[in-house]
Amino acid sequence: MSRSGDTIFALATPPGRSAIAVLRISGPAAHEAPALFGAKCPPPGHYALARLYDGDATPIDEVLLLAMRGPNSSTGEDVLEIHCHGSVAVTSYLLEHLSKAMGFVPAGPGDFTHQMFANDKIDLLGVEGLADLIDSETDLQRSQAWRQMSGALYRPVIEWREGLIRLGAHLEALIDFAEEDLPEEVEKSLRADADALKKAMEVVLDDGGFGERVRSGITLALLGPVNAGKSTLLNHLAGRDAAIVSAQAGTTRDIVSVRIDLDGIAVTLLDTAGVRDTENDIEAEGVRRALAAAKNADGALIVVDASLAGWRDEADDLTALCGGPYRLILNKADKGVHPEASIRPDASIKDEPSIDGSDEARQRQAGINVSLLDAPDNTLASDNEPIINALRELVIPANNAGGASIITRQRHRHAIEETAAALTAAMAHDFATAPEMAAEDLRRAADALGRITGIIDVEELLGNIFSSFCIGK
Amino acid sequence: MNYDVIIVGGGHAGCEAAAAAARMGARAALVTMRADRIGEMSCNPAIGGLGKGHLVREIDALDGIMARAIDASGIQFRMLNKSRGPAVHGPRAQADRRLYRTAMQTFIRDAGVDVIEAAVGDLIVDAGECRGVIGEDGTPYRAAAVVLTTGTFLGGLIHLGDEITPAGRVGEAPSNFLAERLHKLGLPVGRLKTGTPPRIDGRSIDWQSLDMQPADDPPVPFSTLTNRITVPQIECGITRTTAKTHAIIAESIHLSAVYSGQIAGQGPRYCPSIEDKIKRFADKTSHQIFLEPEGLDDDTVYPNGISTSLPRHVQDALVASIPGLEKAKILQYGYAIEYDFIDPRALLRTLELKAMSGLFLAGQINGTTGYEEAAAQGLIAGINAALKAGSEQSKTGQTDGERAREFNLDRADAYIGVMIDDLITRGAPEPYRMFTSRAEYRLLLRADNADQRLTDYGMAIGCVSTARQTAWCEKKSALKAARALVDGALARPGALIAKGLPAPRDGARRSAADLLALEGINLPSLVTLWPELAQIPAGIATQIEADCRYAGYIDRQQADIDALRRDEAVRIPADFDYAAVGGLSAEARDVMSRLRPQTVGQVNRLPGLTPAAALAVLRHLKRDQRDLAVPHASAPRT
Repeated sequence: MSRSGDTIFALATPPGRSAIAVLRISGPAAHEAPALFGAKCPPPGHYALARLYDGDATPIDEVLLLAMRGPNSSTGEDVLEIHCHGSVAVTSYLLEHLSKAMGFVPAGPGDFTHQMFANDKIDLLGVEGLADLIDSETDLQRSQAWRQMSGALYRPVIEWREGLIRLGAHLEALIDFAEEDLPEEVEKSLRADADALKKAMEVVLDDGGFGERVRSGITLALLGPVNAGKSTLLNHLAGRDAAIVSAQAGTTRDIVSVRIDLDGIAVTLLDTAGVRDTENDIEAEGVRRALAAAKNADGALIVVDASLAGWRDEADDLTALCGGPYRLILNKADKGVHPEASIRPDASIKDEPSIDGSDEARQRQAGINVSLLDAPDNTLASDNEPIINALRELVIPANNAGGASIITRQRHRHAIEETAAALTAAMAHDFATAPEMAAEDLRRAADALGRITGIIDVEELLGNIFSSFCIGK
Repeated sequence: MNYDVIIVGGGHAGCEAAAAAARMGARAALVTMRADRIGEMSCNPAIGGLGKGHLVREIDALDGIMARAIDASGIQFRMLNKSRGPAVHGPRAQADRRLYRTAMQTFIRDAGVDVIEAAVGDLIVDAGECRGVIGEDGTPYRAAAVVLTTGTFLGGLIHLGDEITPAGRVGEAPSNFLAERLHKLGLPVGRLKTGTPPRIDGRSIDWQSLDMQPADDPPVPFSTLTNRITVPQIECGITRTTAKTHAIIAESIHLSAVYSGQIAGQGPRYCPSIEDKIKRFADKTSHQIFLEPEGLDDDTVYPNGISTSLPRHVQDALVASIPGLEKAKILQYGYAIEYDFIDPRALLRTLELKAMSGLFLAGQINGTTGYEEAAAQGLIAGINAALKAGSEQSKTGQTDGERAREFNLDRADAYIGVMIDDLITRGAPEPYRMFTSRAEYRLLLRADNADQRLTDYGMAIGCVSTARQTAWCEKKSALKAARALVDGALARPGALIAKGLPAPRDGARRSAADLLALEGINLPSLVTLWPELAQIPAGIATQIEADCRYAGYIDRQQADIDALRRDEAVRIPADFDYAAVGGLSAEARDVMSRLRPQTVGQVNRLPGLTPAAALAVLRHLKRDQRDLAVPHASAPRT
C-alpha cells in the first residue's frame, strides 16, 4: 500500500500490445509529471496533445494528456492521465522513469480506490460494488454490481439505522427521563417498531444467498460411477471438448473444471473420476479427490448409467456423499431404464431451503432421463432442457426475489444477521425492569449495522430524543 | 503570598478544585467575591439524578467533597429508576440549601484552603504562562497554576421580561474585567442561557390538595464514607399546569425575554423554560411540576418545572393558575441568565487551556450546566493544577520522583471521562448536561462501583486521604472474598431444579455467578442452595449482583474498550502538520488543524470526520515517528 502524501501511478489498461494504453497518476505531484518528460501539463479540466521526451531530448511518444484538479477528480486528488500508444517499450519507459522521480510511488492494489474512499468519493459499499463491476463476467453480475453502487443495499441499511436510532432514543428516554411523564404508549410502540424493523431485515435476508451466488459464482460437482458419462455431460454443457472421453472405465483421473454462464450466474462444473474400488494408486487418488469435491461443492449432479441393474443403489450411495443439494441424471435412457425397486425406505433425502415438499424430493430421487451420446459435435441425443433445468434448480434458490437480492457478500449477511439477533435479544428484555440491557442490545444492533457503512452516533441519538418528546423541568 | 494553586470562584467547581488541590498537598487559595456564599446552590437545591448521581459517586471515589456535603444536608433522598437495573439507578437528593453551604464551607476550611475575599480583575501572565491573578484593587496573588471557575459571571446578563440587569447571579455583580481579559486572549467565546423558576412562599401553598412524594426509607447515602443519613426527611408536592396556565403563557409569550429576541444565547433542550415547552409541544395539555422545599426551616419552595423569564405580572398569573398555588406568594421572580462561556475545545484533557499554560477552566465557564458536572470538572482541574504546580517545583530543584504529570480518565473509566472527552472534542453547542445514554459503557460505569473503578487511581495519584484508603482497602478485600464465594459455589442441574432454580439444558455445572446473570435471580434466592452466600454483607451483595448481572455484556464490550484505549494511547503532537497527511479531504484537514485533537481516538470522535481520516493520521504518525504509544495504565496516565 502506498503511503499518505505520495503521488501514485499505474497502468490503467492491461499490459502488453494495444492501440493505446492509459497511465493514471493521482496525488499532490500528479500535475508535475509531464515536466519530467519535457512536456507541459494542460490546465485542469482540459486535455492536450503533447510530445514526451527522454533525457536526451529524443521523443518517446506523442500522447494525450488529461488533467483533473482535486477534489473534482475521480480520486479526489490531482489526477493526470497519459494516453500513450500501447507499446510495451513506451509504457515501460514511462513507468520506470516515474518510479525514479521524487514523491512518485507505483500504486499497489486498491490504492486508487483507497484515495477515493479517503476523499469521500465512495463509501464502503460503493468500493465493493466497484470491485464487483470490474470483476463481473456475466450480465447478472454486472447489473448486480451497478445496483450496489447505486445504493440498493445502502438505502435500506441507512433506513434501518435510522429506525434503530429512533428505537434507541425512545428507550433512552424511558431511562434518562424516568421522572418525566412520558406518554404511556412509548413502550408499546417501541415493541411494534422493533418488530417491524426485524421483519424488514428478515425479508432481505431470506434470499437463499442469491446475491452472493451471483457475485462469487457457484461450484457443482459431477459425481457418478465409472463410465456413467460424466465427462460427456461436462463437454455438452461446456460446448467444447474440455474433458477426455473414452469408453474405457476410469478415463478421468484428476478433476477437470469448466466455467459456464447459467442465466447470469457463473457456474464452475467439476468433472471427477468415476467412483469405484480400485487397486490403482493414481485412480484411487482420483476417487478420493472426486469425493472431496462432491463434499465441498455447492451442489452436485449425480450421473448414473440407468440401463444397468443396480443404478438405484449406486445413486443412493453417492447421494449420501454429497455435501449440498443434488440432482440425479439417468444417462443412457435410450437403452431403456433398468426397472429398479421403488426408492429404498432408508434413502436419505437431502433438502435445501429452495426445494420444499416431498413431491419435489421424490421427483429428484426419480432422476432425469437423458441420453448423452459421445458425438463429435457435443450434441445431446435427448433434449438439453431437462439438464439445464436441473442445474437451475441447484443454482437459483426458489426464494431469489426475482433476482433482486441486495446482499452480495457474506460480510453484509453476517452484519444484518447480527443486527436482527441483537434486536431479538433487546425485545426479550422487560422494558420496565431491564431497559438498560435492552438498550445495550439495541446499541449492539446499531453497531453491527453500522459496520456495513459507518458508525452510530450518540449525539444523533440524543437529538432524536429531544425532537420526539417534551423533556425537562 | 505565593500559592501553588489559586482557584477563582467558590461555586461547585471551585470548591471541588480547591479541596482536590489541597488533598494533593498543594498550597491552595480560593478567591471569591463573597466567602459566605461558598457552596451556594444558586438554582435547583438538589444534587444527583440520572448520570449526575453517577458523577457524584465518582467524585466521592476520588475523595471529593460533594457527596459528603449532600449526605450532611439532604432532606429528600430518592433513588431514581429503582425498579430498573443497577446501571441506571440514579441517586438524587434535595438539599437544605443552608446546611449544604455550611457543610461545603466546613470542608473547605478543614482542607486547609485559604479563602480570599476579593474580586478578580486580571491574570498575571509571565512569558505566556499564567502565574496568578490580580484583584480589582490591584493586589497580586501569585501561584504556579490558576483554576478559573467563574460560572455565569462572565458577561452575565439577567433577563426578566424586558428588564435587563448585568449580574452573575441575582444580587451579585458579573466579572467583566476577567471577561475582557479572556476575550483578549483570543479564545473562542460563545453565549449560552439558562433559566430559573420563581420561588414561592411555602406557607401560601395549599399542600392539602396536592399529591405528595415521600423520600426513600431508608435513604441511601452518596458517599461510601457515610454510614447513615441523619438529616430529617421531608415530602415534596406534585402538581400540574392547567389549560389556563397554557392560555396565559400563549397570550404573553411575546413578552418573554427568550421569545422577544432579546436573548441570543442557546439554551438547553432538556431544561426548557415553561414558555418553551408550551410553544414546542403545543399538543401537550399539561406539564408536571414538583414543589420542592428549599430547607427544613426555610419556607422557600422551588417549583421544579416552570423556569421562566416572563414579566412579573405574567408570572403571578401563571403561578395562580396552577392547582395548589392559587394563593401562592412569589418570593423571588424567575429569570433567564445569559452568559459567556469558553468553547471547551480550546482545552486539553486536563482542562488546561491549550493557549495558555497554567490556566485551567472548570464548570459552567466550559459550557456545562449542573452542579455535578461543574464539581467533576473542578476535581480534575484541581488535581491537574496541583500536579502542574508540583512539576514546576521540581524544575527548581525539588525532586519529582515518579510523580505523574497529568491525570486523565477515559470514556471506559468514568462518566467524568465521558464528559471531558465530549466537551473537548465536540464543544458545547448547548449547555452540556450528563445523561446515562452518553456513556457507551454504561453497564460498566455504574453508580454502585465508582470506588472499584476509581479509588485505586486516586490513591496512585495521591488525592485520597488515609481514612478513605483504609475504608476502601477493607471493602476491596470484602468484594474479593464475596466474588470467590459466588464463583466457587457450583451446582449440577439436578440440584438447581430441586431448589426451583433455572437449570441449563447442557447438563453442565453452573456457579452462583452464572445464575446471577439471569433476570429475577438475586443472592437471597440462592441462599437455600448455598448457605455460605448468606455471609456476604448487604452493601457488598448489591455490587456483586450487579457485576454478575452484566458480566456477559461487559465481556463483549471489552474488545471495544481495548480498541478505544489503543487509539487513545496514540498521541498527536501539538504541532502536527495536517497538510502533510495525504488521503485527507480538505474538510477533514481543516477540522483537525483547527481543533487539534490530542489523540487518534479523539479524531475518531470528531463530528463530521470519517474513520478513514483517523486511519490516515495514524498511518502518517506511524511513518514519521517512533515511540508514540503511551501505554494505558490501569493507573493514572502520565
